Amino acid sequence: MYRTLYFRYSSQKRYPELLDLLYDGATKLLLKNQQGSGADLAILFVDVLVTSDAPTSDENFSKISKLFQLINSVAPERDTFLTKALRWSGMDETKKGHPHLHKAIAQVFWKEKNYYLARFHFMHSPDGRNCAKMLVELHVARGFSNEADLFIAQAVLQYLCLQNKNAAILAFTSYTTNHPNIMKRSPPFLLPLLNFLWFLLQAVESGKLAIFKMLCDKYRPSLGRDPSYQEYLDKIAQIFFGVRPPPNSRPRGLFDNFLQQLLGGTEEESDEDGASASSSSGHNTQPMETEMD
Amino acid sequence: VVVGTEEWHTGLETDWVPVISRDIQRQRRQTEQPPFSDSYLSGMSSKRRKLVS
Repeated sequence: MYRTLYFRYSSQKRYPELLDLLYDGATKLLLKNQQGSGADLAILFVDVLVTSDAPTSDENFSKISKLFQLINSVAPERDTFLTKALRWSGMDETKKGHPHLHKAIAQVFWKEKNYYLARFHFMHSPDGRNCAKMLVELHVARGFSNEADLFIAQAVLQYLCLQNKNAAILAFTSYTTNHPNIMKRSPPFLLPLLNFLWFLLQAVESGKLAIFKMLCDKYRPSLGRDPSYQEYLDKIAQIFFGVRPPPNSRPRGLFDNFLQQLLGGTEEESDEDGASASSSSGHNTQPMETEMD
Repeated sequence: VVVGTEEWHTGLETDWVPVISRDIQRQRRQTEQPPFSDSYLSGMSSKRRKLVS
């Protein structure tokens, strides 16, 4: 019956009715645990969003995340659905998906305790606050006690690399105020790495290269704890402090391999460099939209 | 710490200097970083993860 109506509405280009029909149908079937048919309709729903050039609105994102939540987490259709939805929502040539859709999807993964994918989507969202709350939960449950400051340092530096400064600030504040093992709720902190982040976020605002260099120098022992930090800071120097990338440096997509896994739906890990052929300009990719709610 | 006595104090907010000075001292007592937990490692890029684990 859905199919019949689908073809009729499609041929008549009655997209609003068609979208309602597919959304309601998919929801009903998935709730009755008719996973296969439900997921098929959910995928059709996204296909019609594409065909009808539907607006990237929070209402549509909310529908997508509700359907996503209902599709069984081990169903193969789930990846297809998410990949198509993110592609449809893609805002710019980076095709990373709309930040608000990433935010909604992150919440679903967080509820499912799939921290790895939740973290990935939070990183592409403006929702630093909830990202940090999740990281507190993750650290307390599964991290080592000496990693309390590392968990937030990793997230703040990655947010900055993704040119998502607002989310970095929100994440830092939220983490330091919510983490049960961080005794001092406001700066200056007892842990040097937390002070570094607090100073770094202020230096990023001012754009003063000398101060940035001084901070990296004085906090070298703390920053050396994770060898990735130097790579992140090199990129941050280019983005916020006008440092030129070294000659012959190839464009590096920090999360491209994550993204490839996600969008390619493969478990194969690609090499970090050149995983994405899409960014040709290299050091200056389009800033992500970081407008706050 | 007397602010302005060292070169790196230049251009800093005065309240930064004592914090950074104290952190320099603290970091001298820093012990070696033990291996990372899996949940921390999973936040790294796969390439880096292979290198450190």
